[in-house]
Amino acid sequence: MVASVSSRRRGSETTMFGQSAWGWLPSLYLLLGGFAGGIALVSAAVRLACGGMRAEVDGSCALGSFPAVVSRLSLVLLLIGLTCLLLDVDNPDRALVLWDSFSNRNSWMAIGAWVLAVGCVVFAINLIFAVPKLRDALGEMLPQGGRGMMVVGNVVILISGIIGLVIATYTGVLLFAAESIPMWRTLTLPMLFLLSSCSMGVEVSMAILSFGTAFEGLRIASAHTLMTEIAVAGVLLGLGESGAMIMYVIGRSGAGTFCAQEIAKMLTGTLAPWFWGGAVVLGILVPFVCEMVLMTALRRDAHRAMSLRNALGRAQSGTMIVRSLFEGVLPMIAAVSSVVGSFALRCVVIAVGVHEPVAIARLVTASLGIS
Amino acid sequence: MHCAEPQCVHVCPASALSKRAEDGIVVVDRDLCVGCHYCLYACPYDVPTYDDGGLVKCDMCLSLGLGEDGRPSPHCVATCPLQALYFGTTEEIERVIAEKERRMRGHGRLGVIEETGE
Repeated sequence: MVASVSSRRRGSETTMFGQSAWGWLPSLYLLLGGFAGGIALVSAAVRLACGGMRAEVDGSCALGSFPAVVSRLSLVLLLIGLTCLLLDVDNPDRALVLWDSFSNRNSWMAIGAWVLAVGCVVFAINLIFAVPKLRDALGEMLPQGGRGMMVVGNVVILISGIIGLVIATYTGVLLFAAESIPMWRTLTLPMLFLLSSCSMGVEVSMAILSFGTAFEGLRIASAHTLMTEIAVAGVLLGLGESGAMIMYVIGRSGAGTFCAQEIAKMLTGTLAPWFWGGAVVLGILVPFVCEMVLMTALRRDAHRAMSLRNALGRAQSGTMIVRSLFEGVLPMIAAVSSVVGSFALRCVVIAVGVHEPVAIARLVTASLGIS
Repeated sequence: MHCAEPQCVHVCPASALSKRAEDGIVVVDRDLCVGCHYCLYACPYDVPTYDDGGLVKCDMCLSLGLGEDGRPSPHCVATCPLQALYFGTTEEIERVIAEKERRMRGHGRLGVIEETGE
């Protein structure tokens, strides 16, 4: 006779999809962390590609308000994510004392807490360098003035991008490190979360560039090249995320009966609407289609690389106005869809994060060498 | 049973969970616990639970003091009417079970169990 351990945890609430201790709030702060990281990484790449701090300091930067907007966004998203995390723990006052409460260097949660804390500081410094008034005030304090500003500023942009990459990856690693959860015990999970985060970064960056004052005074060819490159990045990330998702599903399907059951729940069971409607359609397909349409629009009309305001200004017919509006809102549609789909992905992954039921009696007799 | 390599100890960010060197019992310091619930995910046997005061797990009744032999004295072991529970090292328990098995064979009871296939 064998006794089975119920997978329900005594004393803990039943949360989303009948899961265990973590509910929808961890899905939210995993999303916010990944989102902040993705924005920081992509915006760092765009800013460095457009001349870095030199262009932003001497006024030749073609990105307009983009650096200030994305710097604020990455910091705010990270702070909100951290606030949600603190609201989720039972003792937030203890959690705030980092050096006491996150002291176990072997724990990925402790490592992540310090990474997030450093991330807040780096993103805040990045914001100072991205906002002209704050940057000018800081420039007066630096020993070499403008030249010092350029060097330090480029280093800050680079570090914020690296920190963004680390944070985006960490959200998946935190789950991977829980060795007892079969559905999380695969390297495709951190890879999937990283690609999802980068995808959000690209889509939102594209939306900000399209709706903002970017490219004022920039040669059309340069704006066209940049926007095309961002659109291509969006397409490639979509393909990459699809590949990672397929690898995750196939890999876990073959990882034993229990994992196969959880995959079936994801593909055809209670989680199917979230997976297919959210993670696949909204998270990957819609942004992919939007980027493909934008790439076609860019190939047809180089001026499309300018902001929506300029595109509408150049429209000479009702058809062109409608087309400009449609193509102009596509980046926003892609951005919103990507974020919602990424949230759905994280919800699904959290929901399948359950333990395989363990036959304790068999375990005990096996460990004691009793047949 | 307490794990030889407890995952909960490994993943706890605050080091609130630890394994005692003298007897291998995994204990929790509720004053250090931040309530992140990561140990719930780490443990494959659903051992940790949470109440209003924080993390709760079996500590072999250490918090109630030691027995007369200077070792922990879990109440479940002391009170089980069928003596189905044991406390001790793996070797000690193996000896007890081997002795039980020998007695059962001597009384012919083990053979009955084998015939019915239970």
